[in-house]
Amino acid sequence: MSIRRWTRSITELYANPWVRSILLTLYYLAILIGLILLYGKGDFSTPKFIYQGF
Amino acid sequence: MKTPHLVSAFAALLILIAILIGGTAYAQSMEQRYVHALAGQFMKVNNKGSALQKIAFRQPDLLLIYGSSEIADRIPDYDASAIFQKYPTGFAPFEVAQSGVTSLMIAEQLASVGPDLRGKKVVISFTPSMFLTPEISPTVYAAMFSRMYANELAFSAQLDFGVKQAAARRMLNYPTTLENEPVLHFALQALAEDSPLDRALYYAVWPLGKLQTTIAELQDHWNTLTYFASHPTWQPEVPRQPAAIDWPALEAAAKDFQVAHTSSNPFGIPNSVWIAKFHNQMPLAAVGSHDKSYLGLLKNSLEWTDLDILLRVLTQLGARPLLLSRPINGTVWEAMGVSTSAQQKYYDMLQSIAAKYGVSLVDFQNHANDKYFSIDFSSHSSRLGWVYVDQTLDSFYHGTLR
Repeated sequence: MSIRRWTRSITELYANPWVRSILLTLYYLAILIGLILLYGKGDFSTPKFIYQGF
Repeated sequence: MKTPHLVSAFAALLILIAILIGGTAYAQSMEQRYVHALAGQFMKVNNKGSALQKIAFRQPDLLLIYGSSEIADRIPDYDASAIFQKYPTGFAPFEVAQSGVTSLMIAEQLASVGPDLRGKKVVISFTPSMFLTPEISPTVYAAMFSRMYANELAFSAQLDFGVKQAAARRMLNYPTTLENEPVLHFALQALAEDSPLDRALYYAVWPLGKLQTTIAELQDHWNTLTYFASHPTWQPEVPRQPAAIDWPALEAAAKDFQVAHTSSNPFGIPNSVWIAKFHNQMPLAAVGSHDKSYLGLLKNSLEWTDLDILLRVLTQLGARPLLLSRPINGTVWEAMGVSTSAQQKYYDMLQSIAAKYGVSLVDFQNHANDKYFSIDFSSHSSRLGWVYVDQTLDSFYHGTLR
C-alpha cells in the first residue's frame, strides 16, 4: 500500500515539467561526465629511459 | 514544453562547460601555486603536456631550458638546478629535458606553449652529437611522441603555413605515431602537399583539430592535477637566498675535482667512465682519417632541418632564444681521427643558422680543447663545464651575455 502511494507521488512529481526538466538535465549531465571519466583521461605516459648518445 | 530532451541536453552541456571552465581555473591556480617548487624537479609530467610550461613562462623569475641528456643528466652541486636552486641571483631554471630529445620534438613542445612564449627568454640546449645521426630514430621519436604537442603544432593559429608544412613533412616520416590519429594524420598530409585543394582540406579539418587540441589541453590540466595529488608532501614555498656567486672559486673547485678524478687517461674522462666504457675500447685513429665520414654525417643530418623548423617556430612565436651548444670534445674526437678543421665545420654550420635567424648563440668553441669541460665524446658537461654553462645562463637571464 505504501509502495503504491510512493510510486503515485513520484509519478505526480515527474509530471511536473520543472522537475522533469531538472531530472533530465541531471541524467544527461551524468552521461556526459561518465563519458569523460571513461574516455577523457588522455595518454600522458612517458617512456622508459631511452638513450641514443645525447 | 515541446522539446524537453533537447532543452535538458543543452542545459547539461552548458553546465558541463561551466564545470570545465571552473576546473581549468582551479587547475591553473594550483599550477601557479606549485610552479616555483617544481623548478629543477625534472618532472615527467612536463614531457608530454605543456600546462606547467605555460605557467612557468609567465613567471619573471624562472628561466626555461629545453634540452636533452646534457641537461637531464644531473651533476650534483654544479648543474644549473643546484647552483640556482635558491634563486641566488634572482632566478631559477625550469628545465624541460629528456634524454634523446631533438629539435623537432622541442619545436612541437614550444608550438604547444604558443602565445605564452611572446617576448620570453628561452634556452635551447644541445650537444654536437645530436647532429651526428642521420635523423632521430623512429623508435625514439615514437616513444617520446606527444599527440598533444603534435596537434598543437599542426593546428597552431600563431604559426604560418610554411613552417607547419615543413614540420608536417618531417612528422610524416614517423608514420607509426600517426596510426591512431586520423585527424592529425589527415591534416599533416594536407599540409605536406602544396596544392590549393590540399590547403582547402587542411582548413576544412582545422576546426576539428582545434577541438582536439582543446580537449588535450583539458586532459593536460587533469593530468597535472592528478600528478600533484600523487605527491601530497610537496610544499609550494621555496627558500630564496640572494647571494653573489663566487664563480672563480667554483671554477677552481670544479677543475680540482676533474683533475683528481681523471688521472687514468689523457682525455679528461672520469676514471669510472673510462674504466667502464672506454679503456681498451676507444677507437683511436690517425688525425684526419675519419674526416670524410664525420663531415658526411654532419652535413647530411636532418637535424639541421629540424633545428631550422625549431628556429622558425621560436621566431614566429616571438621568443628570445639562446642556442646553447656544448663544445665538441676536441681532444677525444681528434684522437678518434677527426681533425680540428673538420670539427670546425660544426661551429660554422651552427653559427650560420643562428645568424640566419638573428638568435643568440653560445657554442663554447673556445673550450673545444679544454679536456676538463666534457666527460665523454658526446660532450656531456663535467663539473667544470657546468660552471661555464651556469655563468652563461646567469648572464643570459640578466641580459649581460656578450
